[in-house]
This record gives sequence, structure tokens and C-alpha cells, in this order.
Amino acid sequence: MPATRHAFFTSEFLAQLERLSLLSRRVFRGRVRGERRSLRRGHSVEFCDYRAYGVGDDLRYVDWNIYGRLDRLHVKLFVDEEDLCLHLIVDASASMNFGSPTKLDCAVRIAAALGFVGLVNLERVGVGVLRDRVAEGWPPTRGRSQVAGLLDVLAGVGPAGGTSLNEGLGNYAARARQAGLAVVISDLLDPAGYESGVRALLERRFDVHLVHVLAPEEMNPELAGDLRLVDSETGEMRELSMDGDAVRAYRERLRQFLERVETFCRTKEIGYHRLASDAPTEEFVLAQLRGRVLV
Amino acid sequence: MSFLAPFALTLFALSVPLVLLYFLKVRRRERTVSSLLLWPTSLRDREASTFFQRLHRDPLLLLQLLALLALALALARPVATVMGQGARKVVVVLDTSASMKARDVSPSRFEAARAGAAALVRGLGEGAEVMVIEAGVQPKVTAALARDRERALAAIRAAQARDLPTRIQEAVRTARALVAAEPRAEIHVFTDGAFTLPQSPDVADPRVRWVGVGRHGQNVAITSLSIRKNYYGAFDYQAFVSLVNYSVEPQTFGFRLELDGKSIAEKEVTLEPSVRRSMVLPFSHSGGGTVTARLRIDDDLAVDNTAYAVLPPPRKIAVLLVSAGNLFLEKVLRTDPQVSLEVRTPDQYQGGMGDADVVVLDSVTPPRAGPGRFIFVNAVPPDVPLEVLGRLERPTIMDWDRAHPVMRHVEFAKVTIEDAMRIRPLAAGRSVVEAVGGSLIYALEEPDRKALFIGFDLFKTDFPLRIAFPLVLSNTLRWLHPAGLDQSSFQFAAGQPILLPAPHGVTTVTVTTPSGRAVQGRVTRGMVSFTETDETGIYTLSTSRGETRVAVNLADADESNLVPHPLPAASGHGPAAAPVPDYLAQLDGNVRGLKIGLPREYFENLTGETASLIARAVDRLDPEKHLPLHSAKSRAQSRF
Repeated sequence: MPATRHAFFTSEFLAQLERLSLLSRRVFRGRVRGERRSLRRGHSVEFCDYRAYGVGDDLRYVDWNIYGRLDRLHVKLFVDEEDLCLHLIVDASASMNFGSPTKLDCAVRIAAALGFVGLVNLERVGVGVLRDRVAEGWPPTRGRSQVAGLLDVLAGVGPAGGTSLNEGLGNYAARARQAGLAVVISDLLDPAGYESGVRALLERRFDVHLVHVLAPEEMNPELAGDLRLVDSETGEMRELSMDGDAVRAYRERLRQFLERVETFCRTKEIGYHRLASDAPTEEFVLAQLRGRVLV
Repeated sequence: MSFLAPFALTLFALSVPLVLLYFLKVRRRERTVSSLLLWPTSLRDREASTFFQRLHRDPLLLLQLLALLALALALARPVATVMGQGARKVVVVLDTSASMKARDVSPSRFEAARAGAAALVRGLGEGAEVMVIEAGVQPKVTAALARDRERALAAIRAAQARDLPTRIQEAVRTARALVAAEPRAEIHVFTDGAFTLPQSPDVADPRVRWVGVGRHGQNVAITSLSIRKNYYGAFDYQAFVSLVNYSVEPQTFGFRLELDGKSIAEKEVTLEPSVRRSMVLPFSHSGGGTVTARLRIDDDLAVDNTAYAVLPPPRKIAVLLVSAGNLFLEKVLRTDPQVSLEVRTPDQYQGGMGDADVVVLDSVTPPRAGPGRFIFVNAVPPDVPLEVLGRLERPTIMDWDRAHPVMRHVEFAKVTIEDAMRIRPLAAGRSVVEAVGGSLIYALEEPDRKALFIGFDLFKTDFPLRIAFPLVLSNTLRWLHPAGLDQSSFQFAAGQPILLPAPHGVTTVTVTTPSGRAVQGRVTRGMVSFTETDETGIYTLSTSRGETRVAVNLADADESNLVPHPLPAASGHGPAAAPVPDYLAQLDGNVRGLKIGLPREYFENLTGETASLIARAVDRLDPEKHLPLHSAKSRAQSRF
């Protein structure tokens, strides 16, 4: 856990981030004018279409050149620009407190990077923290001035309690006032699964991206001997003798688990990104997410 | 299978703590992981929770249990008695009959047989079981069936040829019975074959292999010697001798009859082959003595060149006559030279035998007769098992038992009797003279009493006036007390048990054999018995009442005939099979002079290497090139 909000990123990284913006595969209806194309026709500088003049239309938008040539009145339509709402949903359950740096650290840094990009580009950025079924967090806010607040919120996220991804995500989806780009950062290690929560987001027409953070020890367990394994969230114990069979079985289950996640994401058109918690966050954000989430 | 230390098996009880140890919980390190989601639901610790599943699942525990079991079993020292499949069972039967003493094989047939048997036993492989049986009068197992070859060899060494007739068939039967139906058993019979084997399963058994040791027999034998007393004359004897020549040539030899070492007859005898000659030699002698017949000849078997006979000392039969006065009885008994008579009146006799050998009661009924030997004339003492039913008036004699010793030479037809007692016997016996209505003379034979009952008064009959009367009395005395009078009862064949009536009151007897060995004999029911008559010669039986001597002779014509008969051929590979020439011994010799046949048609028209190799071999073996084959070969070669 970084001690201060400024320890999140180097200035160099921030400078790189400033040049990026968020990419959404879907066009959302925004609240206020923003820098993003909207479905609505509006008053931007970008021409979109013509339509016949109706009574009451602003005469300023009548195309006089066409009137002169065709002797008909036509009104120019322009693309309207609105803002995008970015939802950063971070799993902060106890299971995220593994690896070095911890998965939660990694998740927070990614969330911070994305939030920074969003705020800088005049988007709304909201944070949801999944912990013990409830999604608490930071309501969507916009404005560059909010960067410090966002970082403070993220710095205050600590691992505790169990997770119920389904309920947390469902909750969040139900409470969100405005759908948008949702980036779920989690290890997805929930015995109950995560699918119905993600589906709830999709039903609210969120553009969902899943950042799957796994600790290296989870990908490649290095346990040995007769152990009593304790689940960090439920406290459940399981006695296990670590031998080749056990490790092989673990690997097989892990492979199946990841395969299931990938299949799920592929079929639901969810952006899926996996990283190990000890991988450098900057590189992940600049290389992996660029072109998928960020532009 | 059994265990030498079965208590070590209790070691296996350690398996209980072993299993318990195994079920102790493993102390596990606690380790917190992010989620158990990906960890397998436990491979075995959870799934195999029940006892037997666990046992079944854990090869390590099973291996440990097996190791413990093996250790316990090993410490318990298991032993198994296994009948080896390949082990031979060899029964050695040694013929110990007299003919085995023959010296036609040096040093004797028996030595040869013993050597053969010892060689056979030594040549047996490890694990073979050996049994040794001596074929004496009774087959005797001297070494039981065991793998101990040393014991078998010792038994063979200890075996001795006896002066006994052959009983080889009984020995073979015994051997067959002892090995039962065992197909791997071999019965090796070492014998001289000087006997004729009857056809029997014993002979036909393929497991029996006969090993003959005799070659030929040159033997002259005394096959019988008996001394008889003349019918008349108290001291006149006749010696009856039979001599047989079993050789293939005529034999001339000296014959000598000795009485207590003094020659009483000497003769030069010539016998043609296979001729028997019997001689009767009379002589006179008073008192006892030993008669020895000797042949002076050096033949193969010495045992049958001497024969013995014993003349009993002239001991008289002590007869006690209890009578109020009976001239007939007194006269007849006094006339018998072998009877010493004592006469008492009825009031002097209270029953019993006293010192007498025979008691004669004439119309006297003592209160009790007791055990002993009696003649009851017209009297039935109360303890005699005869019931008096009444009288018979002028009984008509129907028949008499001519076979009974008492009635020998007796003619009873014309005897008339005025009246007689009508009796009914209550115990075993024989009616000697039978009349209409009952028995007149009855021979009683009880375990401790022998008696002749004459059921009529001698004064009321003409019986005492007839020649039958002294004969009946004389016969009766000899029937009642036979050993005192008959020479033949002092002569026995070798192998026969000596059975003699014991004098009254004798309980122990010591028998001295011809070789001087003293053996305790047995006295049962008034008879002395001694069975080990395996030497010829004079046996002395000593009792508290004096000494008795008896002679034991081989007197067996079959045994003296040493000529071996062909033995049954062993089927298969027995030792009696024809000797196999040793072909291997001739392998290293020179081939010079040998004829080698080469069928010409096989070697004509040969080609290539085969032809040249054969040509070279022929050249090598036949340097002078006698072989027309050679030219044929060159011709064949030139064609190609």
C-alpha cells in the first residue's frame, strides 16, 4: 500500500498517461457536453448530415449554398459531443492481499492510471470497491481537479473481508445512474463465481472490461509438505499433502478456470486482460491496455 | 508346515500399532492461501476417509505390513517336511539264510551280498531314503526308511548270515507292504537264488530287483538225523541219517557218527550227483548223551555237514497208583521199564500230584484231585468236570478214536464190560471209546489238567486180560507226559521255536545257545518257549529243576541245495540287467584297420564344396586309394 497518493506514479508515467484517452467500443449518452461523440446531433464543429428545414429551426444552420443552387432550405446537422462515464470497480477482498506487490496494489495502480486518464480527458470517473458483497466507492465525478480526490480514495482501499463478486457487481450495476465503460479489476477467485454480476453490468449496457490480476504464487504454487491450507476469506481449512499429484491437479484446475474465464469473456464481448501482480503496472497500462481500453 | 519358534508369530501383533501409527494425524503446517477455489478438494486425505478405503488406497502401509509379516514368519522358522519328488526309496533286502554262507563266491555269498548292498547304498544320491530288511525266519527291519545312509550302512555291516532256511518271500512281502504303492520305490533283494520262487505278486512286482550272488554249488548235506528207540530193548537205538549230494560231480567223503565225542560208526560214502542216501545205524547206549553226525568233506557250505541229536537221560516216569489193590494195574505199570511205581492205599492219598508225574486213581474218589496228570479208573473226583448220570448195563461199544495217541495200535472190538458209569463231559476233551448211551473212555484236556477217564471197574470186564490193556496204559503215560520219553521232541529245525513242557513249578529258564550266549527263555502255561534258534547245534535249557538239552539242525534240503535258480529278470534298468559295453572307452583309439562303408549312390554326382570336402575326407582316411569311389568322384567333378 503506497504511503501517499503521490507515490502512485512517476511524473514520467503521468506525462505518458496524459496523452492517452479512453476508448469505448460503444457510444453512450452523456450528461453534459464532453469531448466524446454523442448519438445526439448537437453543436460541435463536426458536420454530420442535412435535413429539410422545419419551422422553428435556427436560421443560422440553414445552408445557404444549397438554397442558392436548389432553391430549397436545408439545415446542417452537426455531431454533438458528450462525456463518458468510466466505472472503476476494484475487488478489495482479502484474497487480493497476496503476491508481492499485492494484487490489490496492482489493481489500485491500474485503477488510478485509468482514472487519471479519464479525469484528464474530461470524463466522469467513478470508483466501486467490492468488499463483502457491497460496492462502496466514489460517485462518478469529472474534472481534472478531481485527480487528487480519486487518488486519495484509491489509496484508502485496503484488503479485508470476503468477496461476493456476483452480488457486488449486481449492486453496482443497479445503483449506477449512468452506464458507461466499466473496468472490473479482480482476481475472480470467488467460489460463487462472477458471471451473474458481470451479466448484470452487461444488462445495464456497460462496456465491460475485465482485468484479471493473479499473484505469481497462484499461477505457479511453490508449496511443499503436509499442509493445512486456510482460505483467506472464508477461513475454511483443507488438509493437503503437497506432492506432484496435488500440484498437477492445481495446475489443471487453474488452466480450466482461466479457460472458462476467457470463454465467458469472448462470448459476452468483454475485454479480458490478465496480468500477474508482480508485472510492472506502467508497462501493462501503456502496452496491454493501449488500443483496447485507452487510445 | 510347522514352525520351530511359533511364538515369533506374535511379532505380527505389531501390525496393530503400525496401523494405528499410520492413522495418526499428520501434523500439518498451516498456510494461508488466497482462495481454496483452485486447490483440489484433496486427493486422498479427504476422499479416502473410511478405514478400509484407506488401507486399500495405501500401498505403503500394505508393503510395511507385508514386510512385518515376512519378518515374523522368518523369525518363526517355518519348516516343511516335503516328500521330495525325485527322492528314491530304496529297500535293501538281505537274504540271511544258511545257503548265504556258501563259499563259492569268495569270501562268501553273504559277504558279496553285503558288499553289493553297501555299494548300492553308498551310490545313492542325497535325499534317497534307505531301509534295510534282513530276511531271517521273520523279516526284520534293521534300519527304518530314512535318509540316514550311515545308519543303513551300519545295519548292513551288522547283518549276519544265520543257519536258517530261506524266507525271502516273506521279506519281499514285508518290504512291499512297507513301501506300499509308492511307485518310485525300489526293492533290491540280495540273495543267492538257491530256492524256487513261486509265482506271486511279490515276485512279479516290477519294483523288485533281484541281485544274485551265487554262482554254483558244490555241497553234500546231512538233510536229516533222527534217533529212535527200538520198540524192544530198553537201550537199543537206531540212528536214521539222510545224505544228499547236491554237486554236479560224484563225491566221496567220510561219514562219522559220534556219541558224546566217541565214534560209534564210521563210513566211506560215495554219492553220485543229486542222489540221496538214507542209512540206519543201530547202536546201544544207556543214559543220555549227544549224537553228532559229521561229514568229512570240504564243500561250499559247512553248516549242513554236521547234525545233532540229543538222547534224553533215562529218566523214568514217576507213577503214583492209589488203589485198594489192583493186580492188573500194578503188574502192567511195574512191567514198563520206564516207570517207577509207588503204590498207596486210598487213606494215604489226599489229592494232588506230590512228586509223581502221573497219578492213577483206581476206584478211589479223593475230595479233590487238583491240577496235574491223572488216570481216573472208575472214579470221578468232585472237581473233575464230568457229570455222573447213572450206570450203563452191558454197554455196547460202538466205536473208538483210532487217531488218538492213547488208542495207538489198540483193538477194542471184543472187549466186554459188565457195567460202566454213564457220564456227561462238562469241559473240553475227546471221547476215546464210545458206547451206546455214553462215553466209556474219555480224554480230558484242561489248561492245567490232563487226564484219562476209564469209566468202568477193571474187575468187571475182560479188558485187563486183553492185549489192548497194557498198550492203552503205555500210550496214556506217553500221551500224558510226552517229553520224558520221545526223542523227536528234543529235535528242532533251525528257525523253529523250541517248545517244551516245563517241569512242575518252573518259572524261569535260561537258554545257552551253541555259541555260548545265555538268553532268558519264556515260560507260559507250563511250556518253555525259545524262538531265536538261528544257529545249529545243542541248546541247553537250564531251570531250577535241572538241565534239558535240545538239538537244532538245519535239516532243510532246499537250503542245502546251493545251485542258484534263475532269478526273475528285473524289468527296465535294474542292476540285474545285462551289462552295457563301455562305448566311450573306445573313442580315443586309432581307426587303422576299421572298415568304413560309404554307400556309393549317396556320394555320386556331388557338386561344389560338399563334393570337395567329402573327397578330402576320403583321401585322408584312405591314403592308399582303395576306394573305387574316388574315381567316381573325380568323374563327377570333371563333369562340372
